[in-house]
Amino acid sequence: MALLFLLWTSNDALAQSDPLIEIMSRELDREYNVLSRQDYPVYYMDYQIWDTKKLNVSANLGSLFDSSNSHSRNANGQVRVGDYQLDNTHDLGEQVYSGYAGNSAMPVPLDNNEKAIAHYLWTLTNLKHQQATEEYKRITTLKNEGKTPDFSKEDPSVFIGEVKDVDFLKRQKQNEDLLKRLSALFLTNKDIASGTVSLTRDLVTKYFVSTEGTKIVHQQEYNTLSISAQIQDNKGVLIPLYRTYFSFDVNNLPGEAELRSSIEEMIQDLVLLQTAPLAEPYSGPAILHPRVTGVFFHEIFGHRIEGSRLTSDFDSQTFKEKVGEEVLPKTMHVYMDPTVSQLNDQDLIGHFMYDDEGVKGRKVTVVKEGKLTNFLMTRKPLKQFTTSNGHARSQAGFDPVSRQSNLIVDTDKKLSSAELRKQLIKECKRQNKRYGYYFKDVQGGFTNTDRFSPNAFNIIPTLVYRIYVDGRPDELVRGVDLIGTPLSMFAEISAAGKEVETFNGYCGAESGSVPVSATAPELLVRRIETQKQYSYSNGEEAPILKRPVKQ
Amino acid sequence: MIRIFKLHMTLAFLAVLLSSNSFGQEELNTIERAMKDELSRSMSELKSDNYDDPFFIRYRIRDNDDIQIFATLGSIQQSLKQPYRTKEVRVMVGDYDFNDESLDDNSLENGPPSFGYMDFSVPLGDDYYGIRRSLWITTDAIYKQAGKIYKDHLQRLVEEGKSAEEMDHRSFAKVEKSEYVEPIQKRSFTVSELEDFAKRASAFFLDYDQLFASSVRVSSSINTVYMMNSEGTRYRACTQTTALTLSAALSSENKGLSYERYTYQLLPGQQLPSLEEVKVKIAGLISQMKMKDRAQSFEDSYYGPVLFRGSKVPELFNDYLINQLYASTELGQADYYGYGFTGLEEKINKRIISKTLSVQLHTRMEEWNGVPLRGSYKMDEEGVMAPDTLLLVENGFLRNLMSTRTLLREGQMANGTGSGPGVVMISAKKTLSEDELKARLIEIARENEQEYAVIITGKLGSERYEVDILKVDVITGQETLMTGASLAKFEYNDLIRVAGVSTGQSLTELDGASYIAPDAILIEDIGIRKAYNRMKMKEPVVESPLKKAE
Repeated sequence: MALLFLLWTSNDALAQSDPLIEIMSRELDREYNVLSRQDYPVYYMDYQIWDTKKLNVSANLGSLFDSSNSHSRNANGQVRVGDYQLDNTHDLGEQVYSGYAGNSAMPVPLDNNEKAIAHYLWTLTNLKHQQATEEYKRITTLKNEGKTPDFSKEDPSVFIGEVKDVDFLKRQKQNEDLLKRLSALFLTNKDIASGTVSLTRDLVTKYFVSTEGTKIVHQQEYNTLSISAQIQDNKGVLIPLYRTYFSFDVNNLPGEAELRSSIEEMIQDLVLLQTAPLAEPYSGPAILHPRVTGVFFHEIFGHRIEGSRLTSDFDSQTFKEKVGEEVLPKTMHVYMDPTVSQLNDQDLIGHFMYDDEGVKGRKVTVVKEGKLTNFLMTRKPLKQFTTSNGHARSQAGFDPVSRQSNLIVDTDKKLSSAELRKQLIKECKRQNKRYGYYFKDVQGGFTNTDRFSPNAFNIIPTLVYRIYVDGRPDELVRGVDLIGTPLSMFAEISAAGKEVETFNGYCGAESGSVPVSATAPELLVRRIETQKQYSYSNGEEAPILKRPVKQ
Repeated sequence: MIRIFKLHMTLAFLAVLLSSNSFGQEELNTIERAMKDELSRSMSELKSDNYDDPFFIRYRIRDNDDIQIFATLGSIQQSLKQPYRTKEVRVMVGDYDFNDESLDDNSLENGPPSFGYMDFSVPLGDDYYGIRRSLWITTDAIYKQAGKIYKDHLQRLVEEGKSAEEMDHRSFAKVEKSEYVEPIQKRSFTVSELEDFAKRASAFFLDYDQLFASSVRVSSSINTVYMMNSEGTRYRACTQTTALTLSAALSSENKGLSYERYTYQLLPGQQLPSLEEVKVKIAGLISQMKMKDRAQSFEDSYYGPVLFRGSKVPELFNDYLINQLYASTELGQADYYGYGFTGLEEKINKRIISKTLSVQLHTRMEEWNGVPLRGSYKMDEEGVMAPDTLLLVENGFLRNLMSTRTLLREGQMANGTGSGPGVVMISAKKTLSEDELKARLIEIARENEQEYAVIITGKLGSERYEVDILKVDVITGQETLMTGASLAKFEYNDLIRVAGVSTGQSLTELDGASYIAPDAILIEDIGIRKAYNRMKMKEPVVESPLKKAE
């Protein structure tokens, strides 16, 4: 696997300063100067401001449904009372399940008006300080001091990156027309119920300043072009397909010709899916396409190595006591690497330089030669891992917890697709199965890691083929989800392929939605399980009148 | 809720208003052409062997263009411009007397709750085919469901061995074809003009360093409603609203967080208020907050006479009476929880409130005392002409209810109130001056051997459910402001115990309707209790960055 590291270096036109970060710093110093001298002293504070410019253009079946843009700034911050060992965030082990913490972002003025911004930060600090002091008083009354510190000590970082402005409106009309033209291609098939092409552009500049001396200004642009379509079968069941293109540079998104042929391919696949047989629940061998493997690892593994979960007694803590144990075949390695921005010519959406606690993002070897070695850490230490590895992440306004970045699954032993196929057939024969499955594309997935519900995962494939042992052509089927539980599924991984691909997407969890990627090889699994997929039906009757279309 | 005391109108605005409600042929725009052509195609070609043909189809499209701007302390926080369109499709199978809506309690206006996963919204722009496609797919889904439901209704008649006349059922009012077309309005202000105003206005709050938060919000919307139906009716109404809201929050250890706000509602053509006027208004808002902060909190429990003043009077009628005066479209009696039937049909020609009070709708009335009425309309969104006057309550007796085209009772008619009450006039047979009302308040309290009486006074921007009261000493008549009270319980029939109504009247714009209501009303035996506690805040440890250096 060729890893292309595109790291920000000093060539990145490090600015001397930035007006907003200076306003934040001055207010932070002014507040800390007073709050650190109170009876219950504040020992740490930080402010974060996210400046987001957003463009959304969306067309369905040749018509424009959204063309909007916005500019917002949201502030959040931490005020910690006590000290690194014991502070107001100390977990008392109370049986209170908070679930999603919610969004506490405060809207900040869009220009660098010092008085207005300082006043907003003052209001935020005031609220946080009162909460933190009350909580600390309660915690110290209960005298529940643990051995693990509540907050890790980290070296401060200073990085003032270049802040550029992008005029998203410059090509708005052209974008609208392009998306209308592209989505109109779906009108050529009368059974296609929806065909949406959307362009989303986000220019996110994160400002972070802390009382430890960290000062970060870091900007990233996200450009996503997504296509989704649904065809209706003769029973009114809607069958979806999705394609997504992501790049940090809008100029690297595919051009019109490529998108046209992509849509034409999708239409062909949709037509095939329209009459494809519905598959019955199955248990047996399967090959997962690299993108499916990526989602599979993200769900069954990635969420279970997020360190923040392992501090909660509500979490099932699947891997908490398995450090040093073999959890995957010896030939496999798993990394989580936010420092990589591109891999095999594909931009990785999970890239970042500094996490949302102001700690430099680091490559974490999570599994080496099949053995679990590490977790994704924030500044909330675990017994075995007392420092952050730069994986505290959140959506604007949420408090960060440990989340995935760029998941990379690597293997020492790489088989060709043909070899994997041969092994699949051999395994099918051994298990006395007429066919195995090939999961070629995927919409996404979800999993549960808490103790209240079964610790299962569910991958939602969109293109699934049966590979027959008797050599007949592969058969496209539909209507199945790939399901299972993590440990038993890991034990069934038997081989990996040479072909590698990336799935870029957004992951939703306690700290909101964050961009993540998963890069993985093809995978042969000895035994997977499927269940029938929930499908949306529009009723058996086709529309009575013809769809109005310009002749 | 907006109370208008005085408006400065420009002549230009009046000219637009006078010519706007014109009747007659006007060229169809793209949205209307798409609606008309799809309606015509559906009525002539939407047929199925499985169902009866539709006898009525109505399309309604709402074209909305909203601007929202938030500013604080001289800076813009958010500026959003969001155009969007929505649709409402009604397809009916059967006939006017008995149809798919006659027996089931499905959603009548927008078709059955679920009309297919293929549905999509109305596209933006002059997209003739896109708009038709959006109407086509919903029409198809609703027609099929309506066809099935109508079959079920016919089957129920067979199973119960009754004719439609013998069963309680809804019918649908026949309405003559008509046309009402208002011109599309252009926005009175550009986004940058509104942003500039919001920034400058919000900067006045910089002078008040004790504030916890402050903002200026500017909302400007142009909403055009298009309606066409298979009876040939065409309707187009365009409204432009611009609202400027000044808000401030004060934090004190004593009272917690308290908020005050003031809203300017501008009519199309009306100028933005001058910055000098805004500055004075903000100063008034702050001094009002400070006064309230110094005032005592109401901790008592009171039951006795209450004099409601200002906007609290129309609020009482709007919240507790007018909302009850819609004819029910629900079959049968109320369910266990009291939903499904208002019960006021049974009170027609019976006394429901004080004999001194009458409530009348003047929905077509365009202005009152020279001030334009926002609630006024000529035709409702169902295509029924609004009445010149509709007497709802006469001297305390219920005479009529607001009725849509869905009819349940013998003799009931669609009375052009499908877009709400419009203009509500509340009047009294016998009135008193404000001084006489206060004297009467004290007199009743003394009769009840109470130490004090209560006045609830409406202040623009005050929280609707937490009221400030004036505690009136029954010996001296002295009024003391108290905060943090709320009405314990109020129902429309509490208006039976009216002990006096003021001679003066004012106009208040409330929830889309214009209320011309007495300035004050005295009601006996009203409960007042302490309001729920506000969020408590301690004094900030660090002083505000707005604080000027000594």
